[in-house]
Amino acid sequence: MSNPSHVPAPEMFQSKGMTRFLIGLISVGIISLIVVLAIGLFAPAGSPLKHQFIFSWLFAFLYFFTILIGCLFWILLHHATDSGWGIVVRRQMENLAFLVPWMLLFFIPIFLLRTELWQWITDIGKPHLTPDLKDKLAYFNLPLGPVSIPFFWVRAILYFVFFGSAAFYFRSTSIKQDSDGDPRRSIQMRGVSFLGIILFAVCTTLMAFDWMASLDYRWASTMWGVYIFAGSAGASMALIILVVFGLKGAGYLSFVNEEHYHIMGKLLFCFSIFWGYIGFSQYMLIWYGNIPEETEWFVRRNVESWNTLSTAMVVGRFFIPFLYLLFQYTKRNSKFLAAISIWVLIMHVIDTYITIMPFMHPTGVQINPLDVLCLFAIGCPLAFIFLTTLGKVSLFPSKDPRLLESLKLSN
Amino acid sequence: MTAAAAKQEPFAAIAEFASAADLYHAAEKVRDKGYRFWDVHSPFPIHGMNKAMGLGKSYLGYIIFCGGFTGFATAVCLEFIPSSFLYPLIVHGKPVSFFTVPAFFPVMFELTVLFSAFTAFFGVFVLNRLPRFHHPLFGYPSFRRVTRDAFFLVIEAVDPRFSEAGTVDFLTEIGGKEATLIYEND
Repeated sequence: MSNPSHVPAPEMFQSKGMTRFLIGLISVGIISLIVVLAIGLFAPAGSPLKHQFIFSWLFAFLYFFTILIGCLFWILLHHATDSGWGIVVRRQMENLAFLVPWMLLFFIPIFLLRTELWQWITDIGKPHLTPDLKDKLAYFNLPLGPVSIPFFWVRAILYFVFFGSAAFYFRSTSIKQDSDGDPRRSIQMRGVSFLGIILFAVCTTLMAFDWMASLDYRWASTMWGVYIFAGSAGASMALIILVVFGLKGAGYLSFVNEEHYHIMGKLLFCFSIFWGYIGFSQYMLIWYGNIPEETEWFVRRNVESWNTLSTAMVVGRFFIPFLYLLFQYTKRNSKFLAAISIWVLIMHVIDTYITIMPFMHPTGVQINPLDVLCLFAIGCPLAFIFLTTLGKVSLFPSKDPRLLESLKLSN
Repeated sequence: MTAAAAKQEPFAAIAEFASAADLYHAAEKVRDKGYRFWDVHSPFPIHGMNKAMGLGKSYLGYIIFCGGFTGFATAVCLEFIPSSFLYPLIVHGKPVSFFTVPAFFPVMFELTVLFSAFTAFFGVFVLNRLPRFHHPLFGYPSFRRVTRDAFFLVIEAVDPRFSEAGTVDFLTEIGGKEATLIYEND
């Protein structure tokens, strides 16, 4: 075991050797972005192609959005619990969460094509509302005084304001600490994270209701927000593991050792279990209760080939990571851990796909080229922004007062 | 020391160390010397001590896995044999088939957890040879301070490398104070 007694100097990421890769990445991103946006914006309104575009886009948007806010959750948890283990990897969480403000740009097509997505937006214009929509109108479109405020969109802005400003605050404070090493910043961030974790819970729950569950506004489940949170926190831990693994492979962060991987593996393991626990609890209560407006959600996801995919997701997102990560060896060996992290990220694609797409293809799974293109159109620019901004600050908080504690970590 | 006690077989050799760091480094030396039946005692857990002592991974986890699996299998048998074979009953319009399995999951989960917890609890007892009402170390007066401010290293006589004079000398050599032998009936 290496037992460093001094703090290493700040490391800066050099992107010189990967110019070609970066150009390739942004080219793929921009080409697919142009293709999908052209299809989406110029296809005639109400056509199946436009419909397909906006559903694929929402799917891809939510895939990345949930992962990025999951990274914010790990920062908040890290500060709130005053953890010492992860100081060396915390900067990567901050860098990833800092991509959230960019998601606002990718939200624009969703706003423009909102009537294609959310059925109730067109329904509330009609003279006679169904009783279930009438009761929920205050939540969807709260009238405040003389002016009718579209509460749904105000909330959407609030989510971006909260997630974006929290990501900005924690990253910039941590960077300021890189230069002055003031321990009071750590204490201040801990205080902010207490409030932040409450706001995070509120925003994530409401976001999950607004953008996913309200695709079928009759459906309600108190577990839904937790379910989305559990999946996103697990997937973002997988992404953090992969980013650290990649940086270590490129010769940076040489002091990250199997002890750090062990803890990250344990967190990935526990969030795989948590996802299974929440997903099952939600499913079993609705299945056992057998109330039509609740079961509709799961009936939709278990017709024809959706049933196969839903079953495969349960096996792939819960049973495989559970049995795989049960062993200490797989958590401590970085290659084994990176392999299951890729697997979890793929399973998160399927999870998001099953959340969104049954509304588009109620008769069975139909994978459209637009689904893949939209993933590239959002993912490649995000990866490009991440890699180009990575070199601007040190790869770890080099003057954090607890850095040495993190370096000497022992499980 | 009385003549009667001197004829007894010693239980162990014990030495006191000044600090946690001293104990840690002494443990590394004892490990490198090749002793197998020995232990350290301190008022608080010392980080990294299991590495310094060269302890392997506890195999308690494998025992717990077996316990947990037994619990799981018990739940499967107790639920499926009566509800699907002996006395199939249609409840809530749910089919009597494999697809009723979600209703059985909570019990499977609970019994897995229950059996794992019991195995862990009693497994620790068995592996540590507990319960035990007396231990020869308690006969050594200074050992009472181990819960307060003293750090001890004990090498048991069952160790093949143990020798009455040699081990005591060795403990003194690696920095132990008041290295001495402890007898079973002290």
